[in-house]
Amino acid sequence: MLSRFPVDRQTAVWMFLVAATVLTAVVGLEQHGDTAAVGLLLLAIAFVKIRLVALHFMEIREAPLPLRLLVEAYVGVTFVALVVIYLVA
Amino acid sequence: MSIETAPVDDAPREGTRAAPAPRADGKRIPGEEGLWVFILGDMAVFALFFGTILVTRGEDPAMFASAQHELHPWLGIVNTALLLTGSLFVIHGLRRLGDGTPAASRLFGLTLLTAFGFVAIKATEYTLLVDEGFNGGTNDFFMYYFVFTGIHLAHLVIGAIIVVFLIRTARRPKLTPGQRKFAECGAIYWHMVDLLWLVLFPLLYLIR
Repeated sequence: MLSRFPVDRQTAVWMFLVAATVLTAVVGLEQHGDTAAVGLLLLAIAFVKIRLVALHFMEIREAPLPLRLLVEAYVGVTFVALVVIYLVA
Repeated sequence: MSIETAPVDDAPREGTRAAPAPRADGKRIPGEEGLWVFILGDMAVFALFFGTILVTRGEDPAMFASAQHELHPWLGIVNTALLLTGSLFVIHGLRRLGDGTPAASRLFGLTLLTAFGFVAIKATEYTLLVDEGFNGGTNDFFMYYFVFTGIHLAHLVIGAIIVVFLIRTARRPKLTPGQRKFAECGAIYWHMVDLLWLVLFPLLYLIR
């Protein structure tokens, strides 16, 4: 079915997201030793992924600046808050 | 099917009469403004859920890790792939909307299948866990696991109902600007369900 689609920007993003999901799952499930570093890596990748979904799937990259800033702020602030909780709590 | 014709000056093009005038900077609000109040509000509530999960982990890392170990991560991974793929079908369906072919409704139909797949896998996960003796009362991890994945599942079911309407809308030979806008809003909602799972999944299944 997918072979009928041209590999456009959004399909390329989808391919990246699926690949990142499988790879990070393997890293997450096989983790040994320094779990904090792995945890932070997994958290960072998750937020890269949701930013890609917002920009390319929800078309926020074409949105007026105030809306784009709101979404970028959500991604940034939530990520930083979770990192702080992860490291401090 | 579609034949490009040069628009005649002063004659409103089909399907654009109710559309707002294009902005000078070429930017446009995906869906509509009111939808984004809801989307960002919902995402903010989920941000609190995300924080709650990590606070619970911080309070008792050993309990969190051992409870997390009982989950079935590969089912969660398949569900992540299903949601992402459903999003891809929505994007392509939206692109084919109103092109005079059944492509859009079929693509939205495929999204609906991914939603059914997600629900079936989630139901399997819940059943496996309960059979293995874990439920919302087992400990804080499982309470939040069932509550937050349950709330997310409710969002997904609403998304699936919206997709049913998208399939019906896509079957119309001609779409009004309002119907097109509805389809765009429905697509954004689906992507939000996808986006929220992309954080919920690693927090519950992977991050120790």
